[in-house]
Amino acid sequence: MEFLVRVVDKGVAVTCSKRGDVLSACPDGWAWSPEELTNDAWRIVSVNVLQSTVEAFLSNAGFVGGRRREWMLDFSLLPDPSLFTGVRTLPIIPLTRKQCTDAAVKKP
Amino acid sequence: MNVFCNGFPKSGNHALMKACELLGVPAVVNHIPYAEGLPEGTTHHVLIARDPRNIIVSWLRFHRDVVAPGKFLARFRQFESRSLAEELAQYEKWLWTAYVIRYEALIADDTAMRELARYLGVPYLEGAWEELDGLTVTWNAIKSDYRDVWTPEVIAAWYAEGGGKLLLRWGY
Repeated sequence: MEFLVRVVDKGVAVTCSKRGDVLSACPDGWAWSPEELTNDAWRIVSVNVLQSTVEAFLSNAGFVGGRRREWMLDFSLLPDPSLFTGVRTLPIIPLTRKQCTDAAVKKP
Repeated sequence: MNVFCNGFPKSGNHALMKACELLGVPAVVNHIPYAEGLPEGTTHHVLIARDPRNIIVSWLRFHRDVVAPGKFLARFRQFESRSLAEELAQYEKWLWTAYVIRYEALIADDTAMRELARYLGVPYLEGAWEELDGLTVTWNAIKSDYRDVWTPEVIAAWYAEGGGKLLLRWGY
């Protein structure tokens, strides 16, 4: 599975997606657009996770119509947080399932 | 193998889905009453069951409502479109035909997951249960606990209005 994740807040409103949010999830080898592959506000991570994990990252219960997510990736908990700041250095960042689940945080 | 996971809403359906996935069995969440029957080709039907009192508490929390005695009783009397007892009654016959796994047992230790693996005919994968907690759509670190609102007034109303029989029918 490949996740498109946001690394820069889209805005301050609660309905705006925030750093750490998974914006979309696609099968491995997905044909991401040039924008998705190069925009510095986003990263693409490749990780082998359960479908229940995908659903958790994409869930926004109680915020129908908004982009707010219930779960986020706390990049500081990943082995190389610098990959999720500033200019992109890798087109796709591989993560292990454990790295992904260890970095998953439920928002208050 | 065609596994069908099922359960009344707020019973631990996402935990059951994840448990199956951790055993290597694809699953999705379903809320299918008995009258609708099983999808054609189902080989294994797993029903998640939960203390009806905690179903109410979980429902309130999921809808970001206050967990208070009055709210609890109001939701007992009208869960969504009917009383909780009437809505749960739509699922009760599954208790006799499905493989029933209790949410409380599922999260307590690995016993229920090992038994689930046996029922599904797959090997239990060591460490699977340890991965169960967390990272589902509805997961909360603090589990719903009806005892927070189980006051003498609530107890009296619960049993006067059929809650005791409801608990017995669901094995609680």
